[in-house]
Amino acid sequence: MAQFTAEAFQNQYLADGATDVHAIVRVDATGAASTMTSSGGAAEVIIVDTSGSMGERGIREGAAAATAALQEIADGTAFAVIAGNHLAWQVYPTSPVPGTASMNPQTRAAAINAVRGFRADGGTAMGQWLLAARQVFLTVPDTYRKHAILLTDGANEHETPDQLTWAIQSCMGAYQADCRGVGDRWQVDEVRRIASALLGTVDLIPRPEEMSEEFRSLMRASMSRGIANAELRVWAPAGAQVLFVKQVSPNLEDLTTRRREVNPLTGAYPTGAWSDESRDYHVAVRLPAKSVGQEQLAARVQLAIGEEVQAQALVKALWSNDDALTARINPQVAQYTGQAELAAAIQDGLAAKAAGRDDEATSKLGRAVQLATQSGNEEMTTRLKKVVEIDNAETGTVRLKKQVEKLDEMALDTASTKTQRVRK
Amino acid sequence: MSSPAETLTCAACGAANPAGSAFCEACGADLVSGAAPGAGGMPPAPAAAGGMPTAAPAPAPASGPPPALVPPAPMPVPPAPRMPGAPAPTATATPIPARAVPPAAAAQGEESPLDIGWTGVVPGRANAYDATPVLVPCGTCGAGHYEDGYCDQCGAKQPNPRDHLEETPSAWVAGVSDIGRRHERNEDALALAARSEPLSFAALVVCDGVSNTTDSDVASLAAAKAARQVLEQPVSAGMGVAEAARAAAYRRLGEAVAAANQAVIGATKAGDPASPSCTFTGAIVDGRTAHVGNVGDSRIYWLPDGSQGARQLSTDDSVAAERIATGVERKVAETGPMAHSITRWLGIDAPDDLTPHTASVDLDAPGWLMLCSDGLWNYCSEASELQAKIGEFMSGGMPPEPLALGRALVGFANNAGGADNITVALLRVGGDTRTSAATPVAGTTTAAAAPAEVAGDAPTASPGQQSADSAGDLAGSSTTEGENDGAIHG
Repeated sequence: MAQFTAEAFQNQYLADGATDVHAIVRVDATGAASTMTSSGGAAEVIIVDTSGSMGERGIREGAAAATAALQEIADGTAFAVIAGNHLAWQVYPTSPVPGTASMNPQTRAAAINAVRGFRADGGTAMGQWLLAARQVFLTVPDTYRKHAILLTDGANEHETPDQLTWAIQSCMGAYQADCRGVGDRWQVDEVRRIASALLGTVDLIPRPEEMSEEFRSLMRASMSRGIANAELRVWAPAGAQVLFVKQVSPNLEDLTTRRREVNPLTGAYPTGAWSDESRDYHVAVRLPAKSVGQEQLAARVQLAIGEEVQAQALVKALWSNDDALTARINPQVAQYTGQAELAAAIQDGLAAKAAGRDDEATSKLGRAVQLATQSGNEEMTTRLKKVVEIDNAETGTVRLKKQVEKLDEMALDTASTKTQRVRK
Repeated sequence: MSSPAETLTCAACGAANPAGSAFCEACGADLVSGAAPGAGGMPPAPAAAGGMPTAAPAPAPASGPPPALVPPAPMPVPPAPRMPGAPAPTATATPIPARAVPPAAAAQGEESPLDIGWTGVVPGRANAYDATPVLVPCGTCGAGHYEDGYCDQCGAKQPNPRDHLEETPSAWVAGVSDIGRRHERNEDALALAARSEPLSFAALVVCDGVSNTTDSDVASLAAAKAARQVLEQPVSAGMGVAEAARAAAYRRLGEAVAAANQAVIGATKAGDPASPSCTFTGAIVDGRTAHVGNVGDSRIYWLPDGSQGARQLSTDDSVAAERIATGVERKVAETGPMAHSITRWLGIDAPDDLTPHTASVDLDAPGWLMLCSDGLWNYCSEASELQAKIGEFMSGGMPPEPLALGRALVGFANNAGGADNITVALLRVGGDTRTSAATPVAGTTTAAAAPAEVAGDAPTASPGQQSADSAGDLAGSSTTEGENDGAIHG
């Protein structure tokens, strides 16, 4: 049986009159790695882009990647394969109505055979793919862990942004999706929007030949998640306001708007499926100020499965007139706050650059260089160097590079939300 | 006012509960398994220092293994319901009713010092209290209940009984231990015993747990109780010669240090790199003579009324004291670097030589014998300053009662910043004790058990005993122990 622990990192001392409490809550799961979920079953859907732009090579590698993923799916798992262009087709199981097959040697072989039939044709409408996957997941029991892998190579050209938004909203909570873009013609922000809403990851696969390995590891990771659906619950006292709830490790994900009310004082935020892993959450609560010397609980942060609370960390507030105590910023809070700012600076900078607002892009990316340097984030500094010329890293003085590889820019964009773990 | 027979005293926090209660209304502890037996009901457990390891870390509810009272439900040996950041002060912390712990309840193994802590319900799984949740209403908002040490509605902190301890074994002896304003736990502890007759016999112990060590709050309380148990045994007075009485008292103080040290070691987890440690100050008051001893930097003062004769009796084992000895000015040394580093302490990593510094004093004038932790003397170090401070309180209308003065001094230190835990134990010498002794003091009923046993076994022949019955005119009396090198004459 899975065991969860939760631990809060914070400076609980507030200056006289201060109201905002910040804490990083680390949640660790052990015993959660299992091919069988605690609630019974799992369902996997593989969604592969088969638009015309994939070409012969792309289709061949896409089929190989789907095959690699199918080989990782454990026997007994409900599964389906969807091919997408401007429409969506359930390639396996072959049936006029949405549904899944149960994985076994026969169905695996049949599915592998089916993906060999992929043909490059048509446009790209990812909303259609997502809705088709939702139809499939609706046929499996509620308690199942539901996960999809989505592969695309292009921009969402054959439906409006609103259509995609509507499709994403329809699928939220229905399943999780890890999304991958191959090549340099897809839109990072578009695919990130899908992955973020569906509690998954987004990443870049530079070359088609690398898809198989990526799909294999994605599916392997999904198969190891033995906890189907866990929620982060945040209780705040009467009169308090939860300012935000963000996952900050392993990647940044703002969950604030995903609140579901458990009771007037408690909100639940979806965290999806869990394997043996550790995640950090940044919780900020605004309290009515109390007098110096008083202590109170600012938040109970819990991990819950269904109605059962598995672990709890307490976030406290203690008003003090001792500057030495109140001025200290907790290192975890500081680090993750900095990483969130870094991610925002990179994304805003790249968006400004794409829109031709070079001054703004220079300023934002300069700030990103400065933040990455200050925090010693060498990986991000290296990625930034491929997009800007750094004149002075300390002050954030940079120039936009004239010639930039599109892939380098996309790699910087997708990497922006991956955070470096802050040690205890 | 209910008579003592109708109340059950909680062994964990000392609160009085209506007879027949299953759980303490103040802290939620199980009164059935953990209840202290009625006064005098159970003989004191054998005082085996080796029994202390039962006071070890597992924060199980108050349940030694009293035969026939073993509860049917398995008691939790839980993942400690302690918060990562331990409790801290609140302005709403309610003082515990003054009381004394009867010797039976203080016996090792009978009462884990950890029981003082919070014993409410942990939400979530594997909770031994799930079957019988104890809902304690919130004292702050009135709407919610304490769930995990905090209110489930307003988040107010549940007062931790360990944060503020008071003992009043007798009208002439009392003590207060308070968390202060800046620390998250009260790592100070005190343990007092006294016969009801003023200036008959008393034992006082104050221990200051060293910060940044594991469970030093537990260790210091265990140490203080273990030391009290040694000190409250009658002192053999030899042939009635003062010299012999003093030697016996010093031996007893040495034994108390050893017992306290064993108690700290008993509360130490194997291999803990931050093993708990604490200071020791103890006093035996036998008639009109006080014999005191200390290890570490908690202090003992003799503070006669008026402006003469105030003196520090203890000798600090501290870096500051060493610097003062080399000629550095006291104020400079006590505020300088490492001022609070002590050079001797009790604990598994204690230095080999734990012989306490000892001194004796004749209680030959109205005044106060005071034991205190550095949480107080940091704000008022010189004996004469303390004497003047107390004089201010008394001229301001404070009755000459030890509990009143203890609270006043704790309030003074808190108002001055409360940077450390504050503990003060006081013994009143003076013509006024007789009147205050006639005033009923909360807790004296239970306290009576302790002195009664001492009194029964130990009519000591100390010089002070003869005048103990006429406490009314103590001020004018003199003792026969003038040759005592520790004697103070006001």
